[in-house]
Amino acid sequence: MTESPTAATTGSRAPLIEIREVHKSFGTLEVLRDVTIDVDSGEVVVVIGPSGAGKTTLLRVLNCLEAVDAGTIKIKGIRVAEPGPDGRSLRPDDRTIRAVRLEIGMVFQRFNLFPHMTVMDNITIAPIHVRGLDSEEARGRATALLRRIGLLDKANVYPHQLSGGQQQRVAIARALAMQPEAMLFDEVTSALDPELVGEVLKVMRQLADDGMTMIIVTHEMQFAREVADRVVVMDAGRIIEMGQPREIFQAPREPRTAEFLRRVLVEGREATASPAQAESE
Amino acid sequence: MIESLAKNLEVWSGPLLNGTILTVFLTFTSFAVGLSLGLVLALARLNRKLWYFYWPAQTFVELIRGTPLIVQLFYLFFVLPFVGITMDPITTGILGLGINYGAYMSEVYRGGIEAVERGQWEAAHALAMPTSLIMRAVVLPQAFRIIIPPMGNYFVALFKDTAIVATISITELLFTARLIASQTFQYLQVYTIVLVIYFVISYPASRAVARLERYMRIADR
Repeated sequence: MTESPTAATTGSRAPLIEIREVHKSFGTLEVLRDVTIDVDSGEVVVVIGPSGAGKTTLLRVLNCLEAVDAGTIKIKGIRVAEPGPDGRSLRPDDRTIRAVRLEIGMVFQRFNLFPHMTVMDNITIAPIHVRGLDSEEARGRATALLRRIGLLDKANVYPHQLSGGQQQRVAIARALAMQPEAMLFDEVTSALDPELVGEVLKVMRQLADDGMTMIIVTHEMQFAREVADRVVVMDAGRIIEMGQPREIFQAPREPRTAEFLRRVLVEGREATASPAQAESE
Repeated sequence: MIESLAKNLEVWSGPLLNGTILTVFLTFTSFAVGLSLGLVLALARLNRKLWYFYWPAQTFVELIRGTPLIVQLFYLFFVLPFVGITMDPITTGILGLGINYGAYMSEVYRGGIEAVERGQWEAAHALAMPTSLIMRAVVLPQAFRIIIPPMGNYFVALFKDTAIVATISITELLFTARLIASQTFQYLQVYTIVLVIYFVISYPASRAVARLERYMRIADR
């Protein structure tokens, strides 16, 4: 209720995430070229495009797993990257990096749960040691999250006792337990057996419905179409097209988008049938 | 021959048992020193950018690995008193063995730490965990698992290497044997018994390490 005036003025407020003219190279390979996007609070942005388009790198620079070479990134007013005197980006200091990571949660393709900890400990370790919650409060929060993802009965098992889909849901809960402002999803269903993809997407869909700000890199086009407020198409390090999912999927302006979609949607059935194969391409 | 051996054993068993106990004691204590020092050295050598940790640790490890253990022991025992540091032989032995093994063990730690998947670091970083917490709560527990078998091998090797401290007059197993032998001239019997004692302890221990290694490999699938 108190949020409605805020929502009404969203347009005039600064976006939650501001990415301006960002460049990033690995050696001679340019992985991000002149990337500019704003993401508003509560918005769900889905990034699609062929392998090697720079989608994953885009997510990784947002929470400082990679440094950018040039450009400006602001997250909730925190300057993650800005040009130094010589035009190249300044490296953020450790305090800035940690401040940003408190605002942004990330879920990885390979889950990366801590294998020597129970599900409960995986979810509570950062809230306790980083946010400073007492352990009872952290466990309460974790319990609520586990109920939400339907894994309340798995609180005391170890990750290797879970299926891939369950592990990925725990990884989402682990990131959410830090109560971030935004969540980044890096091809989170690509390493899963096809029958396990749905349960993870369901959790993400709930999250989107709850108003979480999300940037999602995915090859699940049907999901992208349903959940995205905006679709960003990348190719060879550039954003080649951006718009409503309906525009992008039904009437792409850019021939490369059309070509990419045709390939994915024609091969799509195969790709959904064996994500591992799609991954290796 | 057999009779004389039985009779001699009766006389020798007391001192030999004491020697063996001291040998085992030296093994455990110097292993503990090695484990602790090795961890500190490994952590100091992880990040070259922290040169004020890196270079001293690196230099120390190279010096230790580039010189013989027995010379290091002599140095501790005979040279340090000249600069006013006098330690009893047992302390010297524990430190000497511990420092030497610590230098080698730091390599094992380093290997273990580097064997932990990069994704673990990234996930922990993404949760805004500081490096010290990541190391303590995420990486080291996984690294410890990885290094248990190689550390077990070092433990067995250390048990045998304790014999070297006989040279600085610690009355462990070998030194005791040498005393007995020089008094009785029964070199054949005394040193054979000593070999047997070392073997009956180290062989089961190394079998246990091998089993542990196999078990860990199965547990990892």
